[in-house]
Amino acid sequence: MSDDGLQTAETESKSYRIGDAIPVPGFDTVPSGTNVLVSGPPMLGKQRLALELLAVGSQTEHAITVTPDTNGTRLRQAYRSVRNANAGRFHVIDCTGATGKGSMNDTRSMKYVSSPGDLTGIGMGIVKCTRDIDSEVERGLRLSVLSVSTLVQYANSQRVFNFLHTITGRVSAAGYLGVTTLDPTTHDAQDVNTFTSLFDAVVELREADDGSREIRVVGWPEAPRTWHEF
Amino acid sequence: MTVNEESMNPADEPVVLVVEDEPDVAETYKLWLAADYDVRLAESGDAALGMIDETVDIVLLDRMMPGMSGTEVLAKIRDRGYDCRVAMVSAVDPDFDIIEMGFDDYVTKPPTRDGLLETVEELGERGQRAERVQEYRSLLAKQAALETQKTEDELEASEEYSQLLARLESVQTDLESEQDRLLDDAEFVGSLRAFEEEER
Repeated sequence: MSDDGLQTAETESKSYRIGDAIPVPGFDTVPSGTNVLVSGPPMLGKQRLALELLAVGSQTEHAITVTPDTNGTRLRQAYRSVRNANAGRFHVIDCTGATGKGSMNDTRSMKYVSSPGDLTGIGMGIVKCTRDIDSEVERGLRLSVLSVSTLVQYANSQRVFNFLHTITGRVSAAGYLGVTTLDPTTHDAQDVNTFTSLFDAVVELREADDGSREIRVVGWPEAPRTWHEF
Repeated sequence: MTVNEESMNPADEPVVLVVEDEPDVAETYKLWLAADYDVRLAESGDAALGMIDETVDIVLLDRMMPGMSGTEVLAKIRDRGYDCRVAMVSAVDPDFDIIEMGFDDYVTKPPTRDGLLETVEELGERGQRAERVQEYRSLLAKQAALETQKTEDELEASEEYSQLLARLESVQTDLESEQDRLLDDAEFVGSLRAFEEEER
């Protein structure tokens, strides 16, 4: 087996700060290797929440985002508007395919994949980013996929399950923090169940009767399962 | 194994396509691999492209050949949508990026018998792991289905449910024990590609 990448893939053992991004007691920090799923219906700000979660660590840690939804340039703009976000450590894998095949060259901050259905290509994009980040990966890396629901439109749910199994496996083995968003209203209950099984904690969002947003953390023993307004 | 036994049961053996312009070298690989694999030989890139199909599991592809190079052959294999696992066989350690080129692994030439067998075996195991992840998903789906259909008392009494949980735990433990492989970049990308082949 070739061992290229082995030297740089792993973070040093550490924990990741969640802080105010998810205002739920008992969920302030999580151990390295944790996979978090952010789940909720459309228009409740899942993407924004995920970007905030990445930004919390960005003064020292790097972040990689796979974006099949929003084109890379727009996503970078959105990220810059998040408090404490350090865009210099923000790496984007744009797989919207909107840029047209082969017309865009990879840069340090942006990699292009031809389509959201090219799951192997997305994996290569992640490898290219971790190589750019090189030894700084030791300080920590947050890896996010925004969102799974879009991937399922281009690749079927079996393929997306396989993909997520591999991504969450890498997160766990290498000691990253994994952040993935999902809109459960667009999948059947069985797919939601199987996807959810791959994550250590699920952050659920919902709209309360008075129109405000509520959040809770499920599957995390230190955090109460109750809803909090935010 | 005699020729007869081999032809009686060819479906069980993974198919390895050896692309190598030197006949002696190709025959040597075949000799090493023939006990466990259905080995097919192509003496050039053109011949390989005529022989590649969905039955081929693993390709050993010589990098330096007259005519089409190994790199060009690989690009054409991937263009045609074949996600079989491809190891580049190269006299020098590649100073370029085998992952970005779409290779799954490389073998330094001349390989030792053990080295070649190990590489082919590892590439074969990637396909088996992909199948196990699919089994894991179907077990999770069955678990969720049973848990919504039955009451807790019914689940407790159900032989099917307890067997399912036992199998689920064993598959999960198995998969977790192999997670560290994903630290290797070639293995990580190769695992994703192996799923795509399973799905074809």
